[in-house]
Amino acid sequence: MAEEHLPELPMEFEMYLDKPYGGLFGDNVQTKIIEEVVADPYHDYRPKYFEEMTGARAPTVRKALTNLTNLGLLEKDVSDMQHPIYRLNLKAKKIIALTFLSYASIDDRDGTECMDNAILDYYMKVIRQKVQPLAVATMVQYECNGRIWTDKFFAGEGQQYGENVILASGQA
Amino acid sequence: MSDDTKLSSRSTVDTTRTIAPNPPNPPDPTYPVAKFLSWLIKRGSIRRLSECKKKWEAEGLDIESVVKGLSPQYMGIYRYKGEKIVKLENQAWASQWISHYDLEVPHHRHKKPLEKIFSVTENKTKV
Repeated sequence: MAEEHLPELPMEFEMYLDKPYGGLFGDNVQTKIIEEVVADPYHDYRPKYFEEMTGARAPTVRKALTNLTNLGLLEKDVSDMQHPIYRLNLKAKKIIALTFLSYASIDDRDGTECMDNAILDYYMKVIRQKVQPLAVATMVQYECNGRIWTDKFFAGEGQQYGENVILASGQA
Repeated sequence: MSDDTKLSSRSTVDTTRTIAPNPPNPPDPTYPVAKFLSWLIKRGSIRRLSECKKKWEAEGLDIESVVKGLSPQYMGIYRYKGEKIVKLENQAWASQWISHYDLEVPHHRHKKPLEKIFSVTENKTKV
């Protein structure tokens, strides 16, 4: 069978091929593990997985995993002492920050807006629920990266608009 | 109305809200492929095909077929030192679908419900 003709990878991308976060923290085993778990946060990981992924020896991987567990990035499940499982600690704020960093790395390289999109997504889905509105409007639309977000407000049951509700204009 | 009254009124406002973005532009990569896209974009959007295959075969994805099934404007396969390399070409498209399937930023509370999410296409065919 004839060999498949494929274009050569553009030279400017070669340096990013095996460099986590665009080479910002070097390409050591621990950084490679961090990039992988942040990229696939719901996976259950065994040390063997990282040995194969990084090409590093078992003691090196074990040391990195212990370090990341102590730092609160990973949680170690020792239900089976012989075969521990590592999971991402999804409560760690560092995970969110590292997720944004992963987007920022390609944004700086390619001039895209993935990090902005991710921050907006996080704000809309997580942060916004925690914010008490200071003023009430009927509808707001946001445009980012070609998508339109629509945010609608409704008065609750029995709520009278007008006298008791502070409107956005003038008084807020 | 005094300032004190205003503050008191503000605290009694009981609002509910709906917030949702417009559906992203097609093609819908489907949920399993969006998971792959989320991984790829967070790993720099350029990875060796052999690595992609090894990881995603277990998830039931044939990455080479997935890439070839998409237009080159979305993803492409390149050659580098004799190896095949997968490169995401349209980050904006991928980012929109990753967000649509709630895979953009990990949330603790989303771990279980994620498995129940179907793609837009799958939902249409179920009707």
